[in-house]
Amino acid sequence: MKKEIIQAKGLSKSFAHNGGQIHVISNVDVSVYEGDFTVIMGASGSGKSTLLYALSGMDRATSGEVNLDGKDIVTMNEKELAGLRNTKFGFIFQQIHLVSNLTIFENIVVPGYHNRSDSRAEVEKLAESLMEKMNIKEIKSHLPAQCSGGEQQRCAIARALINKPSLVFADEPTGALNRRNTTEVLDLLTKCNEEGQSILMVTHDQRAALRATRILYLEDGKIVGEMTLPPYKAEDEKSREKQVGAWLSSMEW
Amino acid sequence: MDMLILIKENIRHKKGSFKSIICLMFLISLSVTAIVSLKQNFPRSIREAYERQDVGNIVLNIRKEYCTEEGIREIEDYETVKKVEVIDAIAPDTYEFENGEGGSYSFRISAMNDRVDRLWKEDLSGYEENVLPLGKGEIYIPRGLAEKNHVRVGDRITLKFKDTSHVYAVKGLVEEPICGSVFITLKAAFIGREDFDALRSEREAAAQKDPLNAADLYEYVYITKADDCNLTDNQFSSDLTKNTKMASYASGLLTKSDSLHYQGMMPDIILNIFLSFVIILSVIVFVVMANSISSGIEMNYTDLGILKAQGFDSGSLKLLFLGQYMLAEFIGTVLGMLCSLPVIRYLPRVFEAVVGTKIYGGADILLSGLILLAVLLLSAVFIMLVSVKVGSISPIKAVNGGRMEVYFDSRFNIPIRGRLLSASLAFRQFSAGARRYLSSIAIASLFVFFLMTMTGMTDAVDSESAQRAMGATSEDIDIYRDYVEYSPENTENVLEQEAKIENLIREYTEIEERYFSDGKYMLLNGEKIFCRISEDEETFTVTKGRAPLYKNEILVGQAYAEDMGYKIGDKYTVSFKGAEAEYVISGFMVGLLDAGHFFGMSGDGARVLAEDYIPTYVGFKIKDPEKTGEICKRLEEELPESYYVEDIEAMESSEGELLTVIAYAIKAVIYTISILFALVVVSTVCTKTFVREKTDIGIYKALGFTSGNLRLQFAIRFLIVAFFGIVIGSALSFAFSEKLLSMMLRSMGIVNFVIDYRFMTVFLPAAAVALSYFCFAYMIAGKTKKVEVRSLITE
Repeated sequence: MKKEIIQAKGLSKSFAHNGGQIHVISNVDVSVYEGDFTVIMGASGSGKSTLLYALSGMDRATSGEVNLDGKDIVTMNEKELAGLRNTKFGFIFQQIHLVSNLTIFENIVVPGYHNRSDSRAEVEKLAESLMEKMNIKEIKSHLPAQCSGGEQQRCAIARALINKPSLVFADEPTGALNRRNTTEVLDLLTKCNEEGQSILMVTHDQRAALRATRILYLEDGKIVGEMTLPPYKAEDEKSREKQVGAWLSSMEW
Repeated sequence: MDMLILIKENIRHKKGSFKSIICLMFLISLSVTAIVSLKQNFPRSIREAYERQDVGNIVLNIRKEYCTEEGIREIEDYETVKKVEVIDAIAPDTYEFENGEGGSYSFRISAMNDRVDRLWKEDLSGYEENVLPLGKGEIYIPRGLAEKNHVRVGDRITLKFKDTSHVYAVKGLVEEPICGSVFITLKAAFIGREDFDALRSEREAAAQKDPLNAADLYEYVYITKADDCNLTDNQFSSDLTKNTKMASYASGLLTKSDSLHYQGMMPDIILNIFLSFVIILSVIVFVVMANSISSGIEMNYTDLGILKAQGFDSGSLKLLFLGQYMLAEFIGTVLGMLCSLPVIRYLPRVFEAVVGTKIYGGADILLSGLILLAVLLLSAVFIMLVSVKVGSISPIKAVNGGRMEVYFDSRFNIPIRGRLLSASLAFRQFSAGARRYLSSIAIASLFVFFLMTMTGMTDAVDSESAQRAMGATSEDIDIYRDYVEYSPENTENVLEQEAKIENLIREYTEIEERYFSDGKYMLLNGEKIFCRISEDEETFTVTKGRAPLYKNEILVGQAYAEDMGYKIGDKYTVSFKGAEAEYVISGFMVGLLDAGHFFGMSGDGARVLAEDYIPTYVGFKIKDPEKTGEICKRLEEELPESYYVEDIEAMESSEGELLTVIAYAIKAVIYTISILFALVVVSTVCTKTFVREKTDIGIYKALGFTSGNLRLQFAIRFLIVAFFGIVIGSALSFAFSEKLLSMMLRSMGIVNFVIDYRFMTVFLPAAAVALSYFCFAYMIAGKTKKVEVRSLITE
């Protein structure tokens, strides 16, 4: 039996609009398990990113609870949430969002320094090994503006991993990348997952979803379908594509 | 119409910048209107008082024995003289109020006359025209004297003579425009005719008994120039003194224009200080505007590009900026002018205490309006110049998402440190976009420069070394004696007493410095000016040339020499009591005597004019100042009655005290305005920076930084900005503060202001600017709480 990292119950998120309320996600019950590469899919506006940010504490849910290590993150104060984001979670954004005035290396080490649980030398050692793994060691002293989109996103992955998080949230991490860079980034995420890193990714790219071990399908703010897959292997990609494609078709994708 | 809609919308969306410009222009307009109006109202009010009291163009203050009928006739008959009026006066040796304050010389009592036609109301808000006649034992004193000695109506004053004393009750404070100012040493007071005649008879009888008492009898000689005389007051005075004899014997001569200069000196200096501050503030407003326009163009690149795509040309876009900023400036200007009205009404009250004359008049709307219009026009040109950047906006680039910020390696970058993470991140944010902070650095440096200048000025009030460098002497004990006609016997007697004084002081402590000197009004090239005679030439503070080595050499006050066009090596005639000789100018000096209008010579130089000249004054600086009181007491016991001993520390000069209060008040006002300005400036710059960096704030939050961490980072960044401003401002101050102060205080005779830089001179302004920047940035960065990480989500 897999261990739950986070468990959401009755999670809802609404926004005020023109005097009324828009319910983006309603009454969602979901768990994310250790070692899984979970992917959330759905049509545009289905509430995928909203669910991701509600689960990660980046955004407060309107109602419901999200339990992490026995604590409800919905009721946490700003300081506790900041601590959580720094130590327990890692984030990868579609628009990459590196700090533009920090070098690639600095972008990676800053959350590590801020964490303070490891020494400076340990943080830097880990950053070096992550850069090696992400193949960005050569550009460590470049500023983001001097790097390609793929290099920037690989840096963002390294940054997300620097504090050895329990779970990495990835919001359309390949959305702003070309085909070659997309494959590179997905390969890296898959490799991280193979090494035990739990990942929760939102995507509407079927190719990206092939990397998942578990896919959740969201429609009108509700989880309407779930499929589990064995760990990804490149040689199985064709059959996996058929399997996932068929399932997505059944979900009216 | 389309432009009006855009201007309206821009203002609605950029309320912060708009409000800042209104606030800054409000402060400037208020200050300019108040300063300009007060600068007009001061001399006008004093001149009106002169006219009403018909004080003539020159007032001679002369001992009765030198004011002969022949001398008066000679003046009356002179071609440019219309009228001469002589008024009897009595000069007590000392005067003392019941609160213990008082003075020792330059106090003249006259009989009440028609000139004294206005009394200050009890609340000092204005005048009462009904001046009640004085009864027996009553006295009217000028307001300047009352302020100087902290006296109220009803207090008693004792006039002391060698052989007697008389007590009078202060019945009221009168307007005395000629020498009513706190900063004019000579003071006039009035008693009833009956009291005066009795006192005058008593002093005449005393003078007959003992010639020393002849110094109690004085005359005021009011001289009015002829209606067709086109000479200025000072030219008239110079011409008259060259061609008639009596002025050479006068103890003092004051022209109406000199009196006006002395009366208005302090308010004028204060207003000039504020005026230069306002000029600096105007520069700051321009810098803020430049920053605001430039960042506005960067941040609204897309909108401006879209407008261009819709047919707006660069000229229209420039007009858009011009329209919105000029509207803000105009609103600020009008509000400032309106709010200056109560300031102009009530602020003169502060200065009235100094000048002793009521200051009338409202706002000089025309002149201030013209000045402010010039500022607005200048700013319009400036806006057009700064907004020239809109020309480079490309509609294609704009519709493709605008111009992204690109950072390049900076030479100033320092590595991000784990330990001082907030500070090193703050430094990186600063160094990566240093160009954006140039305006804030410039503003901080201007503040530091001006605040250091002001602190240096106020510090000089109690800095011995600074005062010395500016020509002031510092003594612990002053001893002076009654003037006795110069004679070999007198010289012998004085030297004997001098030796006795020095021996007596040495019984208590060592003498560090001795100033054996005198001051006499003499004619230098026909101008009656003060001459400082010193037996110790090194006590002159020489700025150019050298101290007099030979007896035919003189030093001239640098400000006076510059006004008169005197040069080192020039030869001029000096006259004193009928004797005259030619002297060579050996150098220039500085000093505060008569606002720098003075000259100096050695004792030997004075002996050319009066063979048996011997100084009437000696001052001592002693090694152990704590013994001053004891020594003074002993000297009073041992010395003859004709000697007067003063404990300088115990005396606490009222003028000095007032100067200190004024200096500190100026400093307080300037610090307050600077901090308010800093608030507006930092708010404007911070808000723009904040909007620009909203995404970065979101990223940091996503990485686990709290709002508190980010606020601190933001505030530290502005502290770094302030630091650079402090460094530049301090350098500017070291280079220019003394020059600026010398320029502003020149009318006081200070041509070489010396700042005694102490720790607090630098620390206080630096701390004020650094704290303002840090705190205001921290305050504005409170908005980081409102930035949600959700803003990073793309849906």
